[in-house]
Amino acid sequence: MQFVKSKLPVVVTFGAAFIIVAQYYFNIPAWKTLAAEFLRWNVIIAAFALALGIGGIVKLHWGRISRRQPTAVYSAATLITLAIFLFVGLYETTRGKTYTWLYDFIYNPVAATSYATTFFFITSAAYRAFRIKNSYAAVLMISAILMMLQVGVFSVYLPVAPKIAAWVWNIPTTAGMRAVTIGAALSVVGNAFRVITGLERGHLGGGE
Amino acid sequence: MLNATTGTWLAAFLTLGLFSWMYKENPWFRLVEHIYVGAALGVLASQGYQSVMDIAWKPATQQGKTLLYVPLILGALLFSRWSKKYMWVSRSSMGFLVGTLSAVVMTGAIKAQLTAQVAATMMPLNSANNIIFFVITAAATMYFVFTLQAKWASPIMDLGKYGMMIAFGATFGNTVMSRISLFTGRLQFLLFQWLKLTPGGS
Amino acid sequence: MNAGVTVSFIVFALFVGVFYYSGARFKQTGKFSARKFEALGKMEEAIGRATEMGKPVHWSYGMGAFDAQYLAAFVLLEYAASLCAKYDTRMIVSIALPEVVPMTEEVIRKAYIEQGKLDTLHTEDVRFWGGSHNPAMIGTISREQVAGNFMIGSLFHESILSIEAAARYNAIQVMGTQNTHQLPFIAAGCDAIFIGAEMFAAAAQLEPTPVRVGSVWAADVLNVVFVGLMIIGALLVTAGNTSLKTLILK
Repeated sequence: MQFVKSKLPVVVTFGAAFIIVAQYYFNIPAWKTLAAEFLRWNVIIAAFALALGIGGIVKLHWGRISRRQPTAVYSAATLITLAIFLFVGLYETTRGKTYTWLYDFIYNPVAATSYATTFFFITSAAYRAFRIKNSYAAVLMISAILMMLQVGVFSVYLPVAPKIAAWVWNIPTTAGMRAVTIGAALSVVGNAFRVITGLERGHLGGGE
Repeated sequence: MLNATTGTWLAAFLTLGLFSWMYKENPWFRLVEHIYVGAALGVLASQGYQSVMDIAWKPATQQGKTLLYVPLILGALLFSRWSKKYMWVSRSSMGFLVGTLSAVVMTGAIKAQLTAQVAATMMPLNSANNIIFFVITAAATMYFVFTLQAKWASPIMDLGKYGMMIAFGATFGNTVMSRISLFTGRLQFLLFQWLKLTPGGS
Repeated sequence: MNAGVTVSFIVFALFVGVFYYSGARFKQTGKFSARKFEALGKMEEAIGRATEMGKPVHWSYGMGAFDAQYLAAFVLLEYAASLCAKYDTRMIVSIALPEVVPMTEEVIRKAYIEQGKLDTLHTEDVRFWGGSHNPAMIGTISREQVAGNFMIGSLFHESILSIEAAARYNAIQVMGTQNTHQLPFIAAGCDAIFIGAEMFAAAAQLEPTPVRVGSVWAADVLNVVFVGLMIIGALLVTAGNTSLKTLILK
């Protein structure tokens, strides 16, 4: 039983990974098909995990309602909306008329607004960025200002600004970002390798 | 009742409620937040159910694709997490998810993140721009060599970090400018679609 | 062998070789020294401050797809959860991806078991928000008035929202990602950050086991080799010879 509890998950991890790694490097058509199948399976397993996640949220809000907490009314709003979306989605499928209405006028506007609010916070983030803590922050600030000067009224009074901004964007920015990508590559390999071989297994739990 | 007008008013109510958080957390925002949590989870649940039916259950039970029972079983094993005694049963399903992910990222990273990028940096050092580009890339890559603590390496790593700060600052400035258009998009919805104001003020 | 992956395979084989060699060497000598990450200290400071204030801390992986950054984040989450368990401080976790929910639960559970505090674990504090992650996250941060805010993983625009929400309560903020489009914002708004590879390498500093040390050493050795190749390749290209540049893509 101990094998099933602690070793089997590692064997499954290694086995699934081995097929994918092997078919990536070597021409084994059957394994290539299997690897593609594995990636499709992930979508299916993740869909089951959805039920776990949603179950947790339902439990959280149901608990608040049953304990009659002051926030129970909000919890009720969550559970009622969830029930409506789920019922309509299952009853008339996600292509149905009512579902589309719910999606377009409840789900979509909040999603779009959530993204749009970042505009305001970028402004306050800029304020924070411009509190110069050290020389690195100073360089960051100067570079940001150079980019901001390229548009609108600034570029009229400072015609060279767009050219400077283009240079900053094409040369040091691309170079700096490329180094972040290169620098992380082998760390990704190391971390993934440790996970595949079962040498790093915090995500599989422990204690038993 | 479920027409475009009702929908637009509801959307406006939700939009303004979410915006209201910018002032402070308040009951209106809280209501919108909770409605949205329900909506988002409902959307996911409906889509998740449909995708399991379409890509696994129906092909497995009706088209004889028996191999698909494997992910269905692995998925179902996740429900063992609802029992404290048997939650360990779900570990193999998690192992499968993490194993496939790790293999994909591990193999992909070497080519896409390393060799292709290094090859692209092998550029002719015949102009100031190319030399600056090259020096920043090489120095900033050295910044990620964590066990090298020799004195000679320190200025190189510093140079690399300054290079990255230029990159971060530029991306920051660029994004600030582009996000303005996102905000004006939501303003346009409130003014022209909801309040039916005419652009140009006529 | 498939076309276009020969060099990639050689790099992988070299990595594995150096990984095992360095790990074995560390086992024998016990010597490991690397640059310290300020962000790890800040995480501890944030949890310590939260404990003093009797407030929770908040954790999120961001809204990006399940990728390697989550693997690095699991290690750092375990560290944060251990400290929270030790000091009896709540940690609320906001999650956007369903498949990460059980893994997060296991990571936190393991940390609490190892601290002997499993009975104090609040399982309801691991919260799956799906697409509503952002409003739910800022709502949670605001209502709970968190004293520490950690966001490590595949970050997108939600990092800005998180920074803003937590800054209102003067929370100590530590974030990390390799997503280059978000690094600027976290660099500007946080008390300390992990830049790309730093969040992967932090594991060795937390607990220098042979596998973690081997992993960092192998990455370091090969990074230096590739910088060397970059220099040689650029010089060759300058002289009109593109053979190394072509070879590295094989």
